[in-house]
Amino acid sequence: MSRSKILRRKRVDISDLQRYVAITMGFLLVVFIIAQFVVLDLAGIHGPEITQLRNDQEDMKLEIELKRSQINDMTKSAKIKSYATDNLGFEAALVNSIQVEEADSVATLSP
Amino acid sequence: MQSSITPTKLKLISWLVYLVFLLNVGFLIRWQVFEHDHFVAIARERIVDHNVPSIRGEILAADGSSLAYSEPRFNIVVYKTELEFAEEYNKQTRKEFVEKVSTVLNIENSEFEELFEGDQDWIKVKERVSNAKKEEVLNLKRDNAPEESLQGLRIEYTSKRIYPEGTLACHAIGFVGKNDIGEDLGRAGLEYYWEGLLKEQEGFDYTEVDSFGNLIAIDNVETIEAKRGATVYTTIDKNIQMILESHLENAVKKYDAKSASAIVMDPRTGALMGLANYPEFDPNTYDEVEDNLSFKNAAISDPAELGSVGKAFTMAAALEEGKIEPNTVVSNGHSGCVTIKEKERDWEICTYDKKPQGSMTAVQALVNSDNLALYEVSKLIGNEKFDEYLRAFGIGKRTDIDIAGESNGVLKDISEWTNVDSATYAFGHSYQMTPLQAITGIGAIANDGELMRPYLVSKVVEEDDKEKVFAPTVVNQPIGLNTSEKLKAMMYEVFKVNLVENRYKNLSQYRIAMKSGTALIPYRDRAGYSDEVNATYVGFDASDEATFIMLVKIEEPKAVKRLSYYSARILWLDIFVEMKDYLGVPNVGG
Repeated sequence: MSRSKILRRKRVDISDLQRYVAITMGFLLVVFIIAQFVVLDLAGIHGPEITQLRNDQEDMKLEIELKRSQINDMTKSAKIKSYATDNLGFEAALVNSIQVEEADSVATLSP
Repeated sequence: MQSSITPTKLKLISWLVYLVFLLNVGFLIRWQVFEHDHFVAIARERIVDHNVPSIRGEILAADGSSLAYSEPRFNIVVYKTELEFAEEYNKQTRKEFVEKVSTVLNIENSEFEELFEGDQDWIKVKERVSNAKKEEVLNLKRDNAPEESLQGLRIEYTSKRIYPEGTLACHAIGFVGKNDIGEDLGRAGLEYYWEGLLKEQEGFDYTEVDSFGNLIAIDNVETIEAKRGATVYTTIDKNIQMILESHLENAVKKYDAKSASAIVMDPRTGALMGLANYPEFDPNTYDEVEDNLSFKNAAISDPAELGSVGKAFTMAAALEEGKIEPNTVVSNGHSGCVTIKEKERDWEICTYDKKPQGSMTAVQALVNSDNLALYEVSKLIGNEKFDEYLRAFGIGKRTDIDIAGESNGVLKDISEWTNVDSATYAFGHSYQMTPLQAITGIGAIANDGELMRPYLVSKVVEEDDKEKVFAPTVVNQPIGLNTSEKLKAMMYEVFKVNLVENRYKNLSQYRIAMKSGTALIPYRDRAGYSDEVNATYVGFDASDEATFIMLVKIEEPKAVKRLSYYSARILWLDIFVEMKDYLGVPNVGG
């Protein structure tokens, strides 16, 4: 093997390889960055909605409890008795079945 | 043109690559080892924990109305760092903040300012305000930016236990107080017994958020579901309960008694329709109660000698054993007292008036409530059998009712019975029972011989609709149907002689079986009895309907003393008159 041939072999020609590596790396970098944005976007895109839904759900539960509380207050014996006195015009002795007989009609109050 | 690289350049590039690699490794070591905590802390800022509030379960009456519920309330908190930040950047002034917030919350300005003096960053300024008040606070605006809210305020979710009926059924329901670390905890009655199910489970979630604080959908790190406390359905009938409580209060005041108790039960199931004591308390303001006696649920926790009520058990045992029939002559007459011999000394036991009596049948003995005739009956039974019957009727052990605070009562082991015990047990003395034990035992007579476990809770429903229904439980059957019928007839005779006053005469049309009991109260610190008495009446619907059994007890009625049976009799009859139609007690004529 001639010396010139040996020398030629020692010189590595990497220009194509360099370009190939650079393009690949660049491409991967871009894909990675885009992927990150896509993932973050997908992950967070419904964030405000979910947060709002959770807050709404908690508000609704609170509202239910407040309504339940109102109903409990309205159905306590003292309220029913005073309703009977103020609106039906008689002193109620019992609270869970107040019957008012007026002519042919019978009205029943139940808490 | 072809580019090429020489070995020297290649070596240089290699060294550069090594250098970059080493630098990379160096930075990784620095970040992951030396600055580990710092970066973990930064990462954790993205993870937020969030409390999901929940609420304690309700206690309902038999008609489904509420006896105890929790209402959402809010603690108003000042976040001092945010407040100072807002002041530093001239968004608002301290004066403006104090004036506005203290006005809405009705706190003195000076008192409000004092709260800021400590080092605390999170200052609770008002506890358990209503939803309307909370909204009012959150709507406070800044002077220099009227569209923007006042800064430095935070809201904590909490709740307030409310007993809408006030004192009604207070001893059965109990109340919610605080434990050592200030958390709500059932302290008595149903609230205590059912704490495990009534108590809510607060939820948490640990979630990753973005830089705006919004949840990131794909990353629910950890979640504990919030769970509302279970709903407890009781057998308490508010009408019966109200009737009992108003009569007990009147009786205690009228007879200058120490206390009074009453129980109404369905003898067929053991369901308690009413359980009341006086004095009472309002669970809404339990911390303002001055006299601890008010908290005592004497109907289930106070064992006492109930006296002649126990004669029903003696008669039941003798009838069941076939030793007597209602018309059997059980006493050939006595002088009013007999002497019982013991090793140390002799004891004299007497009838209530110590007067001589002629011979009498079992029915007459029960109607006259004659102690010495009952002593003769107990001798026919014998100690061992008598002990078995007393225990079968539930004397000396808890009924296992489903609320806190029940007592055992006192019944000696048979090996410890003295001659006096054998004699006095015959007429309901020397052993002690709670009013609940007494009504449960007599309830067996009303229920054709079957003794039912008394209960107050019929059903528990959890938030996920998991439902547990408690069926009536037969504990045992101390007597048979035949004995039960005979005893009902005998106790009906007792009822009739108790209708002394004209206003009660027509009550004989109801088939009520009854037994009274008057007992001297033993000294607490020495042997013997004081001159104070307990008066007890127990009676039930002896018709086929068996609609109810009721016991009333008055403790130490000073206004009537030895005639205390009068006070309990009037109390029992007055309550019966008021509730008989409501309960549908059949009028069978007679």
